[in-house]
Amino acid sequence: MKKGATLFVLAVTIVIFLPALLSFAIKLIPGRVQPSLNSTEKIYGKYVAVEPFLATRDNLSAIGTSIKNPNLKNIDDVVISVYDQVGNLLRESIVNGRNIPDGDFIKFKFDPIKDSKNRMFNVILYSRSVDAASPVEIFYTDQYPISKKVVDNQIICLDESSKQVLILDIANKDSCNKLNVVNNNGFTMSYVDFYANTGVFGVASDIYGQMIGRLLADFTFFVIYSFLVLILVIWSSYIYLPKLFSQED
Amino acid sequence: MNVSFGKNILGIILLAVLLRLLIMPFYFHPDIKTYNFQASFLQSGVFNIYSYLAEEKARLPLKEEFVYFPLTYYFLGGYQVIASPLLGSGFHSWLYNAGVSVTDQIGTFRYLFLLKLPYLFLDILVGFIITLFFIERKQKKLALKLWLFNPFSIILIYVYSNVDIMPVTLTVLSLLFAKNNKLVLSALCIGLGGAFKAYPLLFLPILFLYANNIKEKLTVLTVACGSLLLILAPFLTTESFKQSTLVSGLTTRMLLPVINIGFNEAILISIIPVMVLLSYVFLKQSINTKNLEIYFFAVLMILYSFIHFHIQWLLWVVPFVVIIVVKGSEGIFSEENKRFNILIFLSLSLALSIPLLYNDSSMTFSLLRPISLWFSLLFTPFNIVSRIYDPYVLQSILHTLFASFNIVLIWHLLRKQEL
Repeated sequence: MKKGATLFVLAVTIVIFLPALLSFAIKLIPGRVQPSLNSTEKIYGKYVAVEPFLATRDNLSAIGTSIKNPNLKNIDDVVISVYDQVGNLLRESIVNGRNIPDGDFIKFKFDPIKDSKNRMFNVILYSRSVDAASPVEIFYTDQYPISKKVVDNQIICLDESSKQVLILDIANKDSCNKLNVVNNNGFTMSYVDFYANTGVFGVASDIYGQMIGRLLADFTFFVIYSFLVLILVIWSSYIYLPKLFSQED
Repeated sequence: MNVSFGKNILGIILLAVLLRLLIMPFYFHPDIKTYNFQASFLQSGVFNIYSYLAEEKARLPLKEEFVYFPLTYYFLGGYQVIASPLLGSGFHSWLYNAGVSVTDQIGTFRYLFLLKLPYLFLDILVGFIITLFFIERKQKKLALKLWLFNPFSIILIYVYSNVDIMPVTLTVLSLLFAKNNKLVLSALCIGLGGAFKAYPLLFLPILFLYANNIKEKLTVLTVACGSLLLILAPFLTTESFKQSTLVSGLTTRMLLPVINIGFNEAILISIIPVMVLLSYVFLKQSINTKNLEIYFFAVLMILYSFIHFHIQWLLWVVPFVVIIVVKGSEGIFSEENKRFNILIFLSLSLALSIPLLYNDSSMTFSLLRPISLWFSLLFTPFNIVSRIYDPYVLQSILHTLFASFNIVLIWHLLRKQEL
C-alpha cells in the first residue's frame, strides 16, 4: 500500500515539476515568437539589411532569423552587427554561409549585453559576398506596419580598411562608401531576439507564471478544472489516508 | 468484503483519473489538432473527408491528408458536435490556426482537455474490460492497476494524444469475446476496429486459425471483412481515400524492409516471422482459449521488431501485455515470470525510447508547448546525440536490442504454454 502511494506521489511530483526541471536547460529566452515569413530580400555586396528593435529583457545574447541560401551557393561570411542608437558597435557575430542550410533558422550569438532592457538597438545584417549570383536572402514579415529602418540623420557605410559596416551621422556621408539598405521603408525583418538565462529559478517562475496566466484568462475552464481536481484529491484522500495510517495493504 | 473491494476499485479509478487530469490540458502533439481540424468538417455536412481535403487543399491552412479510416472521422466529428457548447466559439479559430504560437492561444488548455476526454472514457473502459479476463479479485485489481498506472499507456494516450485508443478498445473486446467463444462478436469487433485503423486486421488470421471448423472460420472471415467493407464501401472508389489510407503508414512500412533476391524480386522481412508464427499455430494446432492473448501479443511485437514504427502504435500491445503479466503472476512459474516482467518492461521502454531519437521536435520537449513556447527551443535528443555519435546508428542498436528481447519473450511464452 505504502509502496503504491509512494509511486503515485512520485508520478504526480514528476508531472508537476517536469517543466521546472526542463527550464534549467533553457539557456536562451526568446523575446517573441518568430513572425511569419512573407517575402525575402537579397543580401550581398552593397545591399544590407537594417532593423531597429526594442530589447525587452536584459542580457541580449542572440538574434535569430531565417535565411535562404539556395543550393548552399553562398560560402562567404554572413555578419550581424548590433549597434546602439548613436551608432556605437556593441557586438558582432559571424556565421559562414557553409553553415547556413537553405531556409534554416540561424542564431547569431554574441556575449550578453547586460543592460539591454528597454533600449533601442540597430541590427545590421550583411554578407561579405559580392557575388550577385549567390546572395543570401533574408525573410521579412507583413505582420507589423511598414517602418523606416534608418533615421534621416544617419547613413550606413562600409569602412574599407576594417570591412566593418558602420552607422554614421549623415554629415560624414562623403567619408565612406554608402551602402544600400534593403526594405528601408518597408516590412520588418522576421527575427527573434534572445536573452541569456542568468537566473537559476527565474525561467521556471516565468514559465509557471505564463501557464497560470493563460489558465486564469480562460476563467470558466480554470474554475471547473480546479474543482474537478480538488474533488478527486479530497475523495481519494478520504479513501486512502485512513488505510495509509492503519498500515493496511 | 464486497463494499471493501468496490471501494478499492473506486479509489484506483479516482487516482488514475486525477493523474490523467494533471496531464491532459498541458501536453500538445500536433496530430490532435490536425485530425480534429479534419473531423470538424463533419459539422458542415462533409461525408467524404478524403475527397473534400483533396479538392480544398489549396485553400485550407492545414494541408495534411486524413490518414485514418472513416469511423475515426465520424467518431471525432460526432464528439465535436456534442462537445461544441463546451468547446466554445474560439475553438474553430484555434483549429484553423496553423502558426507555431497556436498553443499560446487562450482556450488551448480547455480544448486539449475536452478533446482528450473521450480517450479518458475509453481508457477507463479498457481497464474494466481487462478485469473481465480474470475471475479472482486479486487478479482483477492487479490488472486494473497495471493498465491504469503503467506509464506507457498514460504517455501514449495523453501526451501523444493517441486516437488509437478507439480501435484498441475494440481489439481487447474482440479478444474477450473470442475467449468466451463468441466468435461472431469477436470478428465484428475486428471489422469495426479495422474501420478506425487498419491494424486490427492483423489479428484476423489468428482468429481464423482459432475457429474450430470450416463453418466457424468462414463466419469469422465473412463477419470481419463484411463489416469492414460495408463501412469502407462508399469510399473505395475515391482515389484520395486509397492514397491516404491504403498506401500509407502500417501497410507501406510492412513492405519496406526487404532482402533483394534478384530479378526484381525481394523477400519481405517483416512478413517472414509473422508467417512463421501462423504456420507454427496451424501445424501444432496450439491456439486455444487459454493462450489466445499470447498470439495477439506476438503478432504485434514481431511487427514492431521488424518495421520502423510510429510511437503511437505501441499502445496496441499494452492491454495484451497487462493480461499476460497478470496471468503469469500466479503459479509454478512465478520466479521466472518476474524475470519475464522485467524483460518486458525493458522491451517496452526501449520501444518508447527509439521514436524519441527521431529527428522530430514534436516528439519530445515541444510536447510541453502549451505550458510555454520556450520548450520548443530545447535541443531534441537527436541533436544532443548527434554531437557525440550518429543518432541513426543508436536508433538501430536500440531497435536491434528491442527485436532481440521480443524474440526471447515470444519464444518463452510459446514454450511455456507447451509445458
